Parts: sequence; structure tokens; C-alpha cells
Amino acid sequence: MSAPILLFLTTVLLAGLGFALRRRPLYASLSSSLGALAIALFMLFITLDEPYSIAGLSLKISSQYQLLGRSLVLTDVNRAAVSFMYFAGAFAFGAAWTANLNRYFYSLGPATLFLMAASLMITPFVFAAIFIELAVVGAILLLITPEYPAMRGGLRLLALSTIGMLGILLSGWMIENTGVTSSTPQLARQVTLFLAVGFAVLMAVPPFHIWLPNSAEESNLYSVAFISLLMQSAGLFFLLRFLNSYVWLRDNQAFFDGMKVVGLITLILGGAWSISQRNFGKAVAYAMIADVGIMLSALGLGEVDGFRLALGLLGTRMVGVIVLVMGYNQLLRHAPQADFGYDLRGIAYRAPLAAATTLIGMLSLVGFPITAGFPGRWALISLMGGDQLIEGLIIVAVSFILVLTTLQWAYRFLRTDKGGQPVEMPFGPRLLSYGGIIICVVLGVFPQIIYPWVGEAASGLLQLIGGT
Amino acid sequence: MTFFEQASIILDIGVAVTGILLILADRRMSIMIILAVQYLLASLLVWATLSLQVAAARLVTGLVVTAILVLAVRNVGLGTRFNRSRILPSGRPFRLISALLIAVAAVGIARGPWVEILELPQVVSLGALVMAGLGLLQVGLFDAPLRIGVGLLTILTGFEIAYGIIEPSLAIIALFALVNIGIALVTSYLVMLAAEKFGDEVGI
Repeated sequence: MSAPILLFLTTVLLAGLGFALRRRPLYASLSSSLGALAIALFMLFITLDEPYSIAGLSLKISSQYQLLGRSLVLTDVNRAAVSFMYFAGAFAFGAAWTANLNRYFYSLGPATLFLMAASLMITPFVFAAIFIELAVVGAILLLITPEYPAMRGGLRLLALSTIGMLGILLSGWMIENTGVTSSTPQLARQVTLFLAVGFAVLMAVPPFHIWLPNSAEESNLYSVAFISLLMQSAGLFFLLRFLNSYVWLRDNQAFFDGMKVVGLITLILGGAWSISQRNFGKAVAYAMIADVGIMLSALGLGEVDGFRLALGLLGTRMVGVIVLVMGYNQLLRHAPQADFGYDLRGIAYRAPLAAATTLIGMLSLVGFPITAGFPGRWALISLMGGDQLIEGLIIVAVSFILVLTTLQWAYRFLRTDKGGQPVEMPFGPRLLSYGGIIICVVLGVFPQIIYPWVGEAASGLLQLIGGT
Repeated sequence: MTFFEQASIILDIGVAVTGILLILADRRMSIMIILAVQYLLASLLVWATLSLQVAAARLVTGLVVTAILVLAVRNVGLGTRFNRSRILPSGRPFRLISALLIAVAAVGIARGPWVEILELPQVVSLGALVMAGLGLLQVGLFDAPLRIGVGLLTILTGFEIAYGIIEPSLAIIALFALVNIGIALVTSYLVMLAAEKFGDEVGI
């Protein structure tokens, strides 16, 4: 038995269970979450390519599976990243039952998760782009559902991801076959351009972000967050693998400088767009885009601490975003006509806990002190130091704008009491809301719980993290 | 000029014409027929430059994709016309001029120096770029799911013609077939969902 096949079979089992339990969201959510968690732990700690015995049975799990002349390989380079994806999935599935999602979420979600994880295992790794595209094709069915039939965002995602895939495949081929090195700058520029377009699509960097706000406005925000988190995580790991594999790219300071500039522009645009929104979902989408800008700025430092920090930010954004969208879906139950987030005035009087969960999730996403998102930003500014004062000031200024955006929404939530008694949240969602708030605050106060662990997700990338 | 080169040029013209016709056609039935013909011509182009087996695999994939779309479109009426987009310019003269401009630009790029990096035969790069360009135009011009789906499939077909030569592996053929079929299935789902939820409100 090989580990990739085991991963595939267990995910199929999970998806099957999710399908069987599709009319019981709580059980489907629990089974998906616990299943994804078990897979994540199994993939992290399993002994590969060495025989061992369990209860008298001799077992050997190989790390490789051949597929039509190509390999899916689980090694020390990618196993932590694969586990990270499944941990992210477990976290997202755990609260999904509160979000009133389409009933096929629990069968399509694990399938999407597997394809994203497979993109981390395929060798040659440039084929990862095709697996991400396949995952996006499945993800469209999570975004556009009979309950949320508007299609603009989903169609844009499909079109952009297809074009991004082609860009990455082409650049991968050029890197492998045209002899790109540090001494062929013109060729390197052409390849980098294709590569940049591909990754900009995966990471939702403007102007390739357009699907995200559209989907946030017209689809269930929980699904949008799930897809966006998975895509951006897979995109980030993919980018790190590129950097790990090609010394000319790793040694190209202009590439990192460019990434930092793009990151800062993304941050500024995300912040400016977020504060100008009248729709809460779109404001969240732009805050997520700004957060991508922070991650790119960390990567743009071009040093090991920056790469680890980017991964840490990936972990904390997952916490903040899931708490946010969980609270928001509870909030929408009390909104008039569920108007997709346009009129939320006075909603905090009817659903105080949901409003608090939403706002704390948002504060965490935008990096407010004592929330999960803050230590990463603080560390980034510290890493930039006095040498990059302007960049540091931009990060502080945009973070301030994003906090103002959150306060503006808090004001709207509290502005006019439209009457009606506060409705107590049922026990399950209440428990998850308190849990989410506590996690956001605890990770803000004790960041060492998550940062070193998530930073380890790239520990197998020896050329990159080893600093050789 | 060899027979295969002459045939390839004719096939290049053929895929360009089908690409333009896909942009001009308004009836769903016509689009399905043109798409099938385009897959046939693209497969012949692959045969002329690669091998019969690869071409056959591409043709089968193309026909499966077309069949999936036909099944979905049959539910909303094969003979019906698309509604005109209210936002984007969509008159036939506009579409024709845009398509011709894109085709000419693709020919220009195919003769440019950067294609030499890929070391592709010019007949292949020409056909691939024309299809990719016209597919891209279709994605940009229309907002109906069927149109966008067909546009993406056209881009993919063009890309596959070129990529098949530079990366001739079985895995790539299989993975691209999966992507094509995946896009066709999603497009079918969206076409039926749009028909059910919006009726004539949006172009299907």
C-alpha cells in the first residue's frame, strides 16, 4: 500500500460518508472534521518505506504511487504541507454545520481537499497546476449552488484558474527545457512573467482577484472562505516548492523585490477597497486580499524567517477567517430577508454573540492586537526593521485602515436597534462561537502555539529553509 | 513543402474559422456542431504533428465533452438563441471584427521570436495561438456559462496542441482529458441551473 493511495481511499471514504450524511449536517460536519484530522495526523506521523508491525501484522507503507509514468510522492518535503491542508480542512469542516451550506459540501469538500493535497505530491511538481485546476472545477460546485445560483464570481474563478494553470505549465516547461539560469536574464524575465501570472491567479492578487469579491457578495461566505483558503495555501506551498527547486529563482533578488512591491500594492488596494464597501462579504473579501499582500511582503523578504512567517500567517488567517464566516452565517439568520450583507444595521441587538464572533474574526484577519493575526504582522514589521521603514509604515497604515473598517461595521451592527428580542443562539453554535473567540484571543496572546508548528510545514524544503 | 505541412496549414485555417464561427454563432445547436468540428480539426492537427494514438485520445475526449454539453443544452432547448448581454457589446459585426483582430494578432505572435523559445513547428504554434486567442475572446465577450465554458475548452484545446509536442506524456493527456471533462460537467451543471433559476433572464 502506498501513502498517496491511502490518502485517496480515506478521502473517498470521507466524501462517501459526507454524502451519506448529507441530510444531517451536524453528523456530516463532525465526520468530515474528525476524518480530516485523523488523516492529517496519520500523514504527519506515519513511517514511510520501512516495515513495522501493528498487532502482529507486518506493514510497509511506501511513499510513492506511479500514475501513468508520473509519481505521487509523500516525502519529508511535502508531508507537513499535506497535513496542513487536512488540518485546515478539519478546522473548516468542524464549524461548517452552523453555516447552512449546500448539503453536498461534505462530499465535495473532501474531494477538493484531496486534489489540493495531491497538487503538493505530484512529481514533476509543475503538474500541480493541473491538480489545482481540477480542485477549482470541483470548488465551483461549492460556490454556485441552487441556494446561491448567481454565477459571476464562480465563472470568473474558473476562467482565471484555467489561464493561471496554463501560465504555470508553460513556465515550468520553459524552466526545465530552455536552460534558464542566473546568466540568462532575458529568458529568466520571460519565465518569471508567466510564473507571476499563474501565482497571482492562485493567490487572488489584483487584478486576478475579481472572482473573490463577486463570490463573497453572491455565494455563501463560508464556501468562499473555504475555497479561497485552500487555493491560497496550495498556491503558497507551490510557490515555495518552485523557490526550493530553482537556484536562479532563489538567488534572484529582483524577483523578491518584485514580490514585495506586489505584496504592498495588494495590501494597499485591499485596504482601500475594503473600507469603501457597503456589503460586508465584499469588505471581508478585500480584507482577505490585503492579508495576501502581507504574506507576499513576508515572502518578499527573501529570507528563511520571512518564509516561515508567511506560513505562520497562513495558519492564523485560517483561524480568523473561519471564525469570522462562522459568526457571519449566524448573523445572517437574523438579518432582514438575508440580503447578502447589505443591511446589517442593529443586528448586534438581535444576535450579540454572532456579531461579537464576526467582529473578533474580522479583527483577527486584519491583525488587531491581542488577536491571532497580530503577532505575524508585528514580526513582519520587526523583520523589516529600520532598513525598510517605508514598507513597515505602509503595513501599519493599512492595518489601521482595516481596523477602522471593522469598527465601521461594528458601528453599523450597533447603530439602530430595529427592535425585537435578542435570540439566543442554540447550544452547538454558541459553543463554537465561544471557542472561536477564545482561540483567536489565545493565539494572539500565545502565538508560539501555532507559528513554530505551521512554520515547520516548509521544513522539508531544505534548499529554501536550510538556507544553502 | 511536405504533405503534412500543407495539410497542417489547411487545418490551421480550419480551426481559425471554427473559432470565429463559435464567436459568431447564436444558436446553441450551431455552437455544439461547431465545437465538435473544432475538436475534429484539432485532433487532425495533432495527428499531423504527433501521432495517431494521441490524436485519437484527443478526439474521444472532445467528443465526450461535446456529448456532455449537448445533453445539458438539450434540456434548455438546442435550437434557442442566446439572450444578448445587456452590459457587453455583442452585435455580430463587433464580434466579427474582434475575432479577426485576435486571429491576426495570433498569427503575428506565432511568427514572433518568443515562440522560438518553445521550439514548436510554426504550423502548430499558429493553430494553438489562434485557438487560445479566440477562446480567450469568447471568455471575455460573453457572460453566459455555456459561452464561457466553450471558450475555456477552446483555450485548452489550443494549449494542448502545443503542449502535447513539448511534453508528450501519457499523464498529461490523461490529466488534460480530466480537466476538459471537468469543465464540461461544471458548464452543464451551470447551464441547467441558470435555466432553472433565471429562465430567460440571463444568456444561457
